[in-house]
Amino acid sequence: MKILRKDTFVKDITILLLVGIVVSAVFAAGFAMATDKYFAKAVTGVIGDYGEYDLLFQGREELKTALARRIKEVIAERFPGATLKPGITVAGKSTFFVTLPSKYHTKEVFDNLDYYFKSLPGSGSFSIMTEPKLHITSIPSAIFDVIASEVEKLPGVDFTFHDGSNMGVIMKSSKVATEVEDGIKQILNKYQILEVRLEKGSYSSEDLLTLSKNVSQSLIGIKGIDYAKDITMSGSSGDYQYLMNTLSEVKKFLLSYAAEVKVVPAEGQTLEVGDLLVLNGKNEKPLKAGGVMEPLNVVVKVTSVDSSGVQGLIIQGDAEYLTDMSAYKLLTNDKIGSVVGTVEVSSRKAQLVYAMDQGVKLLTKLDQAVEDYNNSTGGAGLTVSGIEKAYKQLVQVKQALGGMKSGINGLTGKVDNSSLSKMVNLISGVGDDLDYLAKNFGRVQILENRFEQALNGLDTAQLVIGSPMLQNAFSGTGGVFDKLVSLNDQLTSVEESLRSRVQKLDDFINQFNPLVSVLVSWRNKANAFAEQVNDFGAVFTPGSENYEQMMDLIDSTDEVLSGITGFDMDEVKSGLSVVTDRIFGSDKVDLSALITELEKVKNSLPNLLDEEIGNSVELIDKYVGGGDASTGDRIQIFTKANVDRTVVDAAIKDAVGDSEVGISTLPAGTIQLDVRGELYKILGEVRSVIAALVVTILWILTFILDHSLIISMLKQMRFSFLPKHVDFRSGLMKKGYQLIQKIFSAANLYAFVIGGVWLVMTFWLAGAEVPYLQLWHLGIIGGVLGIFISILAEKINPINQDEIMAGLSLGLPFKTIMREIVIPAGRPGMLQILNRWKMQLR
Amino acid sequence: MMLQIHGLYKNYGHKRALNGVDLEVARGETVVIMGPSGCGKSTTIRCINRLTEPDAGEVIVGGQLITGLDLPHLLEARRKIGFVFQHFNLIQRLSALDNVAMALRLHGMDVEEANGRAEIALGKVGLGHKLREKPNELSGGEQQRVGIARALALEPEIMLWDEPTASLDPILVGEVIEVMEELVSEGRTTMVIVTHELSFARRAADRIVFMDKGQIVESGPPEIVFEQPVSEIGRKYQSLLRH
Repeated sequence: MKILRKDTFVKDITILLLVGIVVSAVFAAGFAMATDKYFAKAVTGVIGDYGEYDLLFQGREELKTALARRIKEVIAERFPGATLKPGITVAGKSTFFVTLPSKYHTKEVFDNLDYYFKSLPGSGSFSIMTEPKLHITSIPSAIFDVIASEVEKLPGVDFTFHDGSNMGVIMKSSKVATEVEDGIKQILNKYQILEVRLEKGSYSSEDLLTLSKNVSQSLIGIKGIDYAKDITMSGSSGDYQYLMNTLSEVKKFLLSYAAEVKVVPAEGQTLEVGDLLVLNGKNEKPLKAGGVMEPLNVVVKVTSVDSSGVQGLIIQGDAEYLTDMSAYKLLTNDKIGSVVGTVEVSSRKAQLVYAMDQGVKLLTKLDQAVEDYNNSTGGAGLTVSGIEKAYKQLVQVKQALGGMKSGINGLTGKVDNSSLSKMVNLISGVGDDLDYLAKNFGRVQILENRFEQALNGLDTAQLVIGSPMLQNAFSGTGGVFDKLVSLNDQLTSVEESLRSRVQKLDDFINQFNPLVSVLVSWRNKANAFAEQVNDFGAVFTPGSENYEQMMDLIDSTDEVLSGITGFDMDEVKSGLSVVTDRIFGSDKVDLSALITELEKVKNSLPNLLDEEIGNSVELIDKYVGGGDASTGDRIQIFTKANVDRTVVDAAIKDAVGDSEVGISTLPAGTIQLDVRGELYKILGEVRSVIAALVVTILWILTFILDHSLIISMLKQMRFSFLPKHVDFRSGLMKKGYQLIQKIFSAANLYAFVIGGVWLVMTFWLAGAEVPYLQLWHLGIIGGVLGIFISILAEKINPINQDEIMAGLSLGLPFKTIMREIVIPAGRPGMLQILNRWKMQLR
Repeated sequence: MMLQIHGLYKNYGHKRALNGVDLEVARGETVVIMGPSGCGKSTTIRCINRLTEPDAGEVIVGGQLITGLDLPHLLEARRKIGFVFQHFNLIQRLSALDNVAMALRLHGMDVEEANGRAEIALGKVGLGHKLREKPNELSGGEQQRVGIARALALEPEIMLWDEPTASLDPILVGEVIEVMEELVSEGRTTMVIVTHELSFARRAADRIVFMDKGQIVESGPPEIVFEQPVSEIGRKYQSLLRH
């Protein structure tokens, strides 16, 4: 600092440096600010102020009126209070801006904007401009909600929404953008996606799904892992993955519905995947080796060859067309080769339709039988009351018989006419009731028989529907599989229910059968007796036939009555009520609904030929990559980031069964400022970048006009901080020292230091910035540029050596020579301006 | 002695320019140094005021050891040593008057006094009428006379002349020689002149010094060294003088 208090040239340089830095910084900052304002104004005129608009629509210019009308309709209907403003039209595209009232700034609205504006004319589309906003890209759809729920908890975040395959994050204020961004980074950093790259083509889509599930499950429980989600089929391009999943399911369904073709190769024949086999179908001429394939032949494509045998798929014709199971190899140009084996075809489609038909048929019969029984018997109450009525009538008959016996005239053997008439009438009435009772029991027996038949039928239907083959075939095929399972469950329930009802009926019948037969026997006896004695002249003399028959009837009646008396009527009633309740009451099986459902399933089965199925499967295979892993032969597992990778890698390799499998880590998402935000950010950076440009230009000017002169002078004077003369014995060392002297000359050091300091200080003061460059980088750049100027200094700003020598010879000090001789003769710049105050000879 | 040089050595890289020069000049004496180009004449007089820094040896001017001075004292000492350059070395932006007054003013003299002395000096060399002209408006001879006036204005104790006419058109040489002879005839200032002007040397010099290969090979009054030279260089000059 002492040197700065003296009137030295170092002081002059210091002043030049400081003034140069300050003036340059102010100029650069001012210029940049003015330019920034100009650009900002221009941009704002095109895309509005920050946060001014919410939606930007664009559509074809010729349909802009229609587009505007449609937008107005939607906002009038959905967003009353929203405003529409036409934007610019560029390259045949017209734009419109919509500002939504703040009450519509909600997750629900933003998530449904696609739906609201789904049909815009003129290829119209829109993008969301609401600010302040951030975007998180590359989030697999399967973890979208996980990330969204955490992001929405961040202070400063208003809500998140689906913006295409990205996540839009609306913030409460632009001031919290940095905090929100940091928060999102922390959330994203909490998770990771482990990507397991598999050998290409080694897994089918289905196998890949299974494997990925196994891998994710194998990770859970490992130390540090409490969360591992398989997101293999839900990559970042959600729509594509949905399509892939759907196609995969459709393929699975079609294959399960297609005829199962097992090929048994003939002795010595080998088949490979892709081989085509021809079989006799609806063709008139039988197949013959050397002939040409016809459209009515059945063609099977070999789809797999493994230890379980050779499997194929019908790609022409249908399994039902097959008339002969001999398979000929199809050669090029549709030529038929020799017989290579036989096929065993199992048409799952036919089996399923058959099972459905049988089910509907049986259940319909069952429903009708139950209805018949109900209509004819009137239920359990009627049956029981019939028995009770019969009992009472029998008691009356017994009494009548007793009365008739006691009323027999001992002399004539005749009975009282009124007693006889009463008894005959009673027997006649009882007989009708007993007939009715017998018929009811008969119907119960018929019902039991029908139920037995239904049970046997259901067993058969279940055998088909519930068969492991059909269940496996349709497993994972969504609706059809669910319907089959539901149908099977319902049939099982029906079967169990029927079985218990049949058992009850059985018990009832077994219990009543003897009684019924006794009653019927009694009715026959009574009727015969009544007919015989229905004659007023009948004689009941003891020992006579009439008398004996009467006694026999009395005995029988006693027997019947005692049988009925020994019968627990309440138990019978209860048991029969259970049967009738379950069939007709609240506990009954809704057979009609079951039949309707079964018919729906039957009708919903695709009406496809095997060739249609086979070709569809081939088409799907072509689209999804020949059945290989459609997601690019890789598995993705979403898990926490703080897991021990060594352990995890080992577990994954173990689950995959391949120790060489590649495992890499992907971020759960990537923060991206939206384009509009970026534009504003760029606009914000314009000032600093322009300032940087201006500073750089001023640096060059300053060094060309001012500092190069000083550097030239330092070179001229051969100033050096190193000793001028050092004795070296070796000439090489002397040359080396001279080189070092040259490199580290005062001129070069001055150029490097001043160049670096000037650039750094001016950048800092002007607020100038260059992307990716920090101040210390700029310091080095300034220094290097300074050296470059130093090399060229004597050419840029030459010095008249004669004038300097004159000054030296006159005993002028360095500062005076600089001020009076060198600087005034140099290029006009800041140095000359500042020097004017120091000069004596102006 | 006004000037004493002892064992002066100077190398330019590997080339030895001075190889032990010893020279003594008495106060008021005019010494003309002659010799072939590259013999070390200019180097010798530039070493006197250390415009060229000698590698070794002593230079004493007016009893002051010049070679032992630090920069501030050296600058002070230079004010007493006038120097006239072969190429005039005028400051191009300044007028003739300012060129002459510059050193005076920069050494602290007020403007009027400095300008007055400069005017006198310029008048002495015959340029009193061209005070405001810039060097590029003057002829070569006039420029050199401004250079002489600039050296004289400081009233030096010793004047060093480094081939003052070498850059001049032969027609203009005379006017400079004339000024030089006038100054010599005044006899007030000790002068060491490097020149090839034989006739001037013969007329004006108190002593002629012949140099060759960085050494003084012969020294003596003009009538002796030109008439009875003992050195090869002396004989060559004698030959030249006879022709």
